[in-house]
Amino acid sequence: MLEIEADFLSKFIGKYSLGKDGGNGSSHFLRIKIPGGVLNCDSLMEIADLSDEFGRGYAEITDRQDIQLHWIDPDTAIEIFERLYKMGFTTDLCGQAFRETCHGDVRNVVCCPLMGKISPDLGQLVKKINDFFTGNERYITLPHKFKIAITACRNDCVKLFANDLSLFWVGDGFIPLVGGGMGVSLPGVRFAEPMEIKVSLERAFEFVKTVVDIHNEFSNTHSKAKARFKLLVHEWGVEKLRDEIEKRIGAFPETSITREIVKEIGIEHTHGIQSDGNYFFTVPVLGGILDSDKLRLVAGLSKDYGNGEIRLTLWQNITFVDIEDVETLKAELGKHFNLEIPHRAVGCPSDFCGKTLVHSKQIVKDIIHNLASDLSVAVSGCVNGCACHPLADIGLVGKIKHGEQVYDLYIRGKLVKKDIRPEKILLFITEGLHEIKA
Amino acid sequence: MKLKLEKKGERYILDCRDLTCPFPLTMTKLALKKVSKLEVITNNPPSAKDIPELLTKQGYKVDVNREDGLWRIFIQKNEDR
Repeated sequence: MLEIEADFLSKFIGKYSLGKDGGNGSSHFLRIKIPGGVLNCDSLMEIADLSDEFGRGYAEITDRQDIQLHWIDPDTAIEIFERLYKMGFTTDLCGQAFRETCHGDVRNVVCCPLMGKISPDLGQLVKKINDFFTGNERYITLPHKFKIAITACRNDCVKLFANDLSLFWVGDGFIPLVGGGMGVSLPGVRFAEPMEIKVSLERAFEFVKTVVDIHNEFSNTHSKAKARFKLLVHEWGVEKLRDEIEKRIGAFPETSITREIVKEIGIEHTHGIQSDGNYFFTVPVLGGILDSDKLRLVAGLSKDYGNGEIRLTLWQNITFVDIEDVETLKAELGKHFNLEIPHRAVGCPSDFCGKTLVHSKQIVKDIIHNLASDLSVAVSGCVNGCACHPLADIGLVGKIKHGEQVYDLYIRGKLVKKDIRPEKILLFITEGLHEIKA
Repeated sequence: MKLKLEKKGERYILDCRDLTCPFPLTMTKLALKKVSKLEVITNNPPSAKDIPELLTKQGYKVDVNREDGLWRIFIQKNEDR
């Protein structure tokens, strides 16, 4: 047996990885977790530098409040990890390339982009959850990835129904929603269901940990298609899950709140006044696509007009917070961004994963530029449903059929037309919207 | 941490199963600083692609066998270098 010193790797294993790309000439992406989407201008500047040095100056905001770089050379990855480590950031573990189960981790914990600004500050809870699960040996071999969302603003700005576990604040506690997932893995598209209990802020962490423990212990470990938590919830039912949770950590008070409490699915906080009288303003970023210059511009403006903090949103936009002079900020931003485009438009990075011939973000652009509407748009390139198309007003999911790119169209979650060629999408959207109205 | 390389005949075996990208590649390069014949085991598809690509470019002789969801990558310094 030969032993070779590799101590320098120990701080990275289990906390950092590269993901697999297969398009645009990129083989690897780097998904930087930004817990709760909260980022300061110094970190954003450094990410811009990483993008320039290692990722061709390109950057994307993901629909889980991460920042994703592409064209990462695996030979230089350790250098990038070292830089991220010093900044206090980690990455997703990206175990999806493995063909087996049990390479799952807890993904970036998403949160209302305005936590602490218009609603209670849940930063401590988000940090505690993130710190506990990141690199924790017991939780980096989950049957499959696990997605958590938290909001205290009483709106669905975090895609509550798409997560394995969502916590929805109702003023004196959280209503948990469980078992959501928008992809094709079994049992298929499934909206998270509310549990009829209330979880106090003080017990929220142990609740989250217990639910992830149950996923770890009971979700399928033999088949990736069956390994998501949503299938366990589907098979058990919410009542059995509740019994298992309460058996472990004690009872929770009952509430009769149902999913109707979420009045509008998938909102974005576009602009307004914070609790302290300052303003917030969200810049629409089409498809979440940015470059290093724009990252630096955003970092600079956040410092010039606010306290140097920005928030990333699940609609792939950037929210400026703590702004006094919002009109001047808007004027500055207007020189570099199109502020007129809708805020709620997401496309998965199918141009990089290589699963589309006519890419999701291109479809989003075409719709936005040709359909004057405030309706939300989500385009997933494949049945994995990364853009959460069933949750949008206009949802599309792509597939390759007989060598050609086609998309299925959903209007507010209802399938209205299958196998549409890209050039016909706008026509069918218009027809579909008429049908829904009728 | 230490990489543990088991000796098997003339070559050493580096078991990188369950490690995500880029660690199998990083460890392989580290091991090749110490040994000249190496067998790397990985079940990570991107690493199974990266390691042969990169090391072939760097002048190593690389052979890959795939069996039961595992890749065995045989690497040795190219005598023609």
